[in-house]
Amino acid sequence: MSTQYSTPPLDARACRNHRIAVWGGMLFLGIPLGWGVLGSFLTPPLSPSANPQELADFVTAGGVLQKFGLIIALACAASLLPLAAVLSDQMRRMEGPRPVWAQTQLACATLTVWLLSAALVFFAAAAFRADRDPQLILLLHDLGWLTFITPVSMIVLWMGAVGGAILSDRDQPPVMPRWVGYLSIWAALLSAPGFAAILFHSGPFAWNGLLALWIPLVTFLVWWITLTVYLLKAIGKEANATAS
Amino acid sequence: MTHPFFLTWITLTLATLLSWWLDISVNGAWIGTAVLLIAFFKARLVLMIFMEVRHAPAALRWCCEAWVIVACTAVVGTYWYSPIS
Amino acid sequence: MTGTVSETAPFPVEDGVWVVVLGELCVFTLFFTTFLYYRAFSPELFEQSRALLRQDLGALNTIILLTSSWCVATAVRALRSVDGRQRALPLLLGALSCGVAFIIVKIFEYGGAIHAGINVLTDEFFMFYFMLTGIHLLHLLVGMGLLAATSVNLRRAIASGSGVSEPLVGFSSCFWHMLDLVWIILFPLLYLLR
Repeated sequence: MSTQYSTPPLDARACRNHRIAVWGGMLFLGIPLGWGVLGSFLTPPLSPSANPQELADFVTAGGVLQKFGLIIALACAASLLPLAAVLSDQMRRMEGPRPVWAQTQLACATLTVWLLSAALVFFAAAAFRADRDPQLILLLHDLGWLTFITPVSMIVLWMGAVGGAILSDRDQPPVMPRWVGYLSIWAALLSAPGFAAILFHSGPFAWNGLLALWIPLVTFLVWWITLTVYLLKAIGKEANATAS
Repeated sequence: MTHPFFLTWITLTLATLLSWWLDISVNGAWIGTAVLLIAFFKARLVLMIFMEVRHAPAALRWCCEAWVIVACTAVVGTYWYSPIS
Repeated sequence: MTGTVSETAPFPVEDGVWVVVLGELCVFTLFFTTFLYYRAFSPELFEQSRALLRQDLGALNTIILLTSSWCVATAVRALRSVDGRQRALPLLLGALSCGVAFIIVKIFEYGGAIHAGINVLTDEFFMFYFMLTGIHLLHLLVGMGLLAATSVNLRRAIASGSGVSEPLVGFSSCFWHMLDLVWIILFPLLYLLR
């Protein structure tokens, strides 16, 4: 019993476009590399309890390399969108002719990209005038970090929607293995504690802490890489089915 | 009512009360360790019997046993860790 | 889809469920060791604050969750035979009531603490206490949602004579036992450890 009511076959041209879109998602690594490493926002992150002068020194020391890193990160942020579009296409196959999670997923991905960009712009504004009042640099960094870490509902819903769609797939064999659906649900549960960054200036739940920053960050990367691999596999399987 | 599930429930409840009683009425440096070991013993019972891991394929059974051992070692080890000395 | 008739074979749980269960257990272990690591730096403060907790309510909640786990395990065993379905539904509802009781005790406990002027920002111990129990409570709400979905699914299956959703039963039951397991460690860690 197939639920693929009216999905058109994936011809060679579509297959190529879908593959480019998924591989293009690799550019998303530009955010951890540009913002995190070149901008030295993750090597290691400054504590929320750092004093304004430390922050001003951090921005001054970052210099042009930090700005360059932020430019790379901002340039790469949107690379998740084509990947999300392919994901939506595959999720429609899982959900049948009246998809909701596929749409939710695309909306959440869009908003996540938008929020990440907004956070990066706050950091860029701090770097833009390194000689301004340290208190204002503190404010901009607060805005940047809180925009980056605390709006968890989008990412939780995003992962949850993907997991729900994979697990609701009734096809044999399914479009994606069911464990990827369970992995998405696990990732959604782990991303939730990010909201706690609003409460704390230090410790594991602060924005530089193990439980609010590092675990959700690593979880997101694991989830995204797993999806990339299984999207490519799903495209390959469809392409084979169309060719034969 | 003598199904393993019921006996497990009795054991788990008694173990809970035992660790609570130990904590209130006995003094000694080993109480904390004992309470943690009882907790991981309970955790293993839930995994093996309620979650039926004891009937599961060997790979899963070993993953669960490995979690119990690693987690118990990590937790008891960190409990004994003292940064001053 | 109605499951095997044998009552001795384990309920068929999907492999993927263990990704969630073992994944959660590993991350919670990281939470436990982080708590103990911070505790090692200020044992006096942690001990002082721990003494303000209600050990009796913590123990009560442990027993409530153990009972709910027994309900779920027995319900799943009943579901292995087609004629066991009628027995499974009240057991699932029993587990759900235990979940509600857990939340009521928790509200009572949080309320008492807040009334005594203690909150998540009071000190490091209470940061961990509120965050770890809070994250566990959030997971518990998800687990109750899953159990409720399973109960609805089972009711429909009984009414229409169709099969129960095995993936749903497997996932919700294992997730629920995982919640119990995490609380089994959290209780001594936060309430008892001197």
